[in-house]
Amino acid sequence: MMKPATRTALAPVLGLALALCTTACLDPDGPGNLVPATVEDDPSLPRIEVNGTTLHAEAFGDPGAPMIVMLHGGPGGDYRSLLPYRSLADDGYYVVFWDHRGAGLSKRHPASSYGFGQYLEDFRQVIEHFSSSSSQPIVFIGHSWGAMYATWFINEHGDYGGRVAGAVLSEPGAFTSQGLEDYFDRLFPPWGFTSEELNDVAWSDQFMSPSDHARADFMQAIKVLPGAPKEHNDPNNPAPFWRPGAVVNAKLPQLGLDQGFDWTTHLAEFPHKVLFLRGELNENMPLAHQQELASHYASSEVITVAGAGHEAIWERQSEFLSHIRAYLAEVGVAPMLRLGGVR
Amino acid sequence: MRRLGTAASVLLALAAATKAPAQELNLANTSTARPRIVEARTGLDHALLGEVGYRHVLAWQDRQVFVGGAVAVPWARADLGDYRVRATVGLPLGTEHWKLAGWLSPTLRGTQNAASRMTALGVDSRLTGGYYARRWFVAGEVGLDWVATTHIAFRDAYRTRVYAGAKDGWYRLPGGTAYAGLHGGVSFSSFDLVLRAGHPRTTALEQQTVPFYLTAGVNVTLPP
Repeated sequence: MMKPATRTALAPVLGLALALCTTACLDPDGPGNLVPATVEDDPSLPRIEVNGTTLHAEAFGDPGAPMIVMLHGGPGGDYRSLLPYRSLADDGYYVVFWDHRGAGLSKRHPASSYGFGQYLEDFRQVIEHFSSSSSQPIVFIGHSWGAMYATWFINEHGDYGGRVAGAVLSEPGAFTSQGLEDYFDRLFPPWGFTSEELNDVAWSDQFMSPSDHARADFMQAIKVLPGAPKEHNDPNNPAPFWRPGAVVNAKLPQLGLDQGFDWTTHLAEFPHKVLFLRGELNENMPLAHQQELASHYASSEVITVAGAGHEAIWERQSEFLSHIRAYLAEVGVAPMLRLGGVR
Repeated sequence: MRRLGTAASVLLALAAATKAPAQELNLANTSTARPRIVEARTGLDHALLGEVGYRHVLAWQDRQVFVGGAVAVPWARADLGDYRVRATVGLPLGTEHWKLAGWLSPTLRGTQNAASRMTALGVDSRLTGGYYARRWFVAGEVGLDWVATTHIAFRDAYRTRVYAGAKDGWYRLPGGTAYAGLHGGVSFSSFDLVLRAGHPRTTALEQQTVPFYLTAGVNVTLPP
């Protein structure tokens, strides 16, 4: 039993400790403490300025070569796990990577600032930023949300004046708001009601509040790290990421569901074949689901990567690259030959 | 700084272990003549949890003062890395049946998740008010479960897969939980059967992962 005097002494000790901590402790919102700094706070990061924001972005290869635009998942993911595909630059392509608005290491914005029109315009301006000519061919390679984003662009802009020559779509979730609702019904909850994963996420709410982007992004990482069992990703080879964008991850789907969307209305007019690559094991996106999405395009093919889940694009890079190279040859997007004709 | 924080954590845990709270008591029946009350709770409060506690009724001038403590652990999966330890002092005021009470609970929490191990120090401040009869009671509650500082030790999985430069240490003013709800119960013999439900938000009033709390429990007043 603690003596009354000891108990009485607790209050000032705790008070002193807490008072000291308010000045000497780390700032959870400080750049680089919980999560890496974005382009706003780290001047060493490659960036572009488009459409009133600053995006973490970089490109590899000859700027005059056919452009491949890599689109990460999420919303709110980043391109870290797609970087192995910069090897396409060695093939003779100009490979563009960017973290979407509010995602990865790009600048953060308040939730109220997001709009659908703005998000699509970001995409268009990224293309223009990296374009060396108005006739430079473009192929999109998008994963998950990135595959949806690519489809959204194609539905709105078609082949963009003859420039978009194809798309490789890795496991898109939905092309309509109804499809997104159905997808979320399959996806959520990602863990069982009594699972340790859900328990850990909910219990962590007591320790930190997502009242700032850094804290929100860190807490999003706590949710993302355990993975979703129904996606059947390889636990021994998890996809890396830099920093989730918690605000945009919540806001963009909410906008989509609230406003409704249908990105299939003009897909049949797209004049090029679209390649769908899917992981065999992902329960959330079975073959029939991907075939249904592919059917909206005039020409498409669905290839299943055996023994892989949702993150097949990370886990099976050589297999993906093989399919991508064959597809680029099929749609006639030839790499730029280097001097001496050596690719 | 870390040593000071750790020392404070240990002191707080010791305090909670020697005295022990849930604030769902039938204040019409509490008495300094039977000052020892043990309690047990289960339900959903940030997680599926179980909680046990002890409360002692003291006399202060002509009023009752409650001191006590409780230990809660999530029970969905046995994980000793997740816990909550509280010491509580409470002071009720009012008439025979209508009472308003203020409660202060220094709180120590721990958790292990996929990204980190976290330990938090803070204070839960709660105001309860309601009607208390011999056989039943019902009361409203509002509170702020404020976290003064959280120590974070990042796990290797986070450093290798996400951010190698994450800084271990005590983080100041990381947030907390604001909440409002109702509780009540029925009383017979030496027992209160109690229910508590409400809605939690972050201290900035954002939604939390589990948007409600709902617990049930029992208080047992021990013989003198």
